[in-house]
Amino acid sequence: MKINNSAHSSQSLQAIQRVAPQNQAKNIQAQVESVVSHVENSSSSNSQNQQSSRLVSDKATIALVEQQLYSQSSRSNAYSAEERKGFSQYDEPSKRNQSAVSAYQTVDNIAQRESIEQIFGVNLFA
Amino acid sequence: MPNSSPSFTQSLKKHQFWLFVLAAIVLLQVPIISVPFKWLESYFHEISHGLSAIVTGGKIVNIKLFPNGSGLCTTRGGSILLISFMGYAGAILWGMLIYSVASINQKTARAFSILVVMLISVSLVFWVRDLLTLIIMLVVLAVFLIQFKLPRLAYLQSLLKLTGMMVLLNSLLSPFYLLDGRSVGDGARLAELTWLPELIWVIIWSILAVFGLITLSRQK
Repeated sequence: MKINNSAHSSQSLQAIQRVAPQNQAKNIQAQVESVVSHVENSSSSNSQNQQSSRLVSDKATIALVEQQLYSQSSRSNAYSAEERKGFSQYDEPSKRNQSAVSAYQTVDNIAQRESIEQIFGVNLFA
Repeated sequence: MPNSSPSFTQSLKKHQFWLFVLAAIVLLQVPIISVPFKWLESYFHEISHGLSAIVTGGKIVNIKLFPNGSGLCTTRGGSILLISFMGYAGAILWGMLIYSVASINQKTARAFSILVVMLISVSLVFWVRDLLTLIIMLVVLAVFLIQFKLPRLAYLQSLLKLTGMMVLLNSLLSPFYLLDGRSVGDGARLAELTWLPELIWVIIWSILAVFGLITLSRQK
């Protein structure tokens, strides 16, 4: 029976972990484990109330998981909005490319700079 | 077997120069390791322009080095002909000088390294005006400073020889970059001044570098 309980919670956790980032999944796991361990302790102390305790633990776990899933989905919506904002700039060159272009333009301007600097009486040697 | 060891050492000494040539060629093909040595050659190229300007009555305004191994030396006054010529020629002479001095003895090699460190430090203080050049120059400086950390002077001597050889080989190859049809750089400047085509100047620098290699190979 312990196996079922933990299997149930771990399955729920796996479902969360598919959608949630790793650190959030760890938080949920910790919370679920604390609830499960609390229920297991109470069930071992009182064997007659064992069945109802497990029922309580399942309800608590499900409620917790549902709550976490709801908050997670709202977070993921916010993230995808940010992501969409990033994707809207897909046609912009990356920072690396921008720096390469500016470096190229610097080299291109050397000849121009040479003519300007000659006005000031200096010589450039490459 | 006891006789083979001294003969092997003799053989190594005899072919030491060509071993350094081979090692330098191999190291110049290694992507990350070759970069500081390209910058070093670029530095010696630019400082040769600058020193020529000073010798002929001019002065250095600033020195710029770029990550791709190119550089820029801004001077005021002096002989433009000599300053233009001494970029590639100077780098060849620096390569020869480093190798030759390192071959004399270990203490001379160390003293020469100190002089080069001082020259780079002076360049950093007086002629470097931008962050990128500063970083490149610090890497160049580190190439020489690392040599002082070596446990034995013999290692410093060998590493200095290798450095000289790499500067010389880079100097042999770099004039060929001028043959790009763009007519920019020292070759084009000399062609403007002397009416001799850029190709002639590239050949002159190449002959000078090959002559330097032959001279060093005959050195005992």
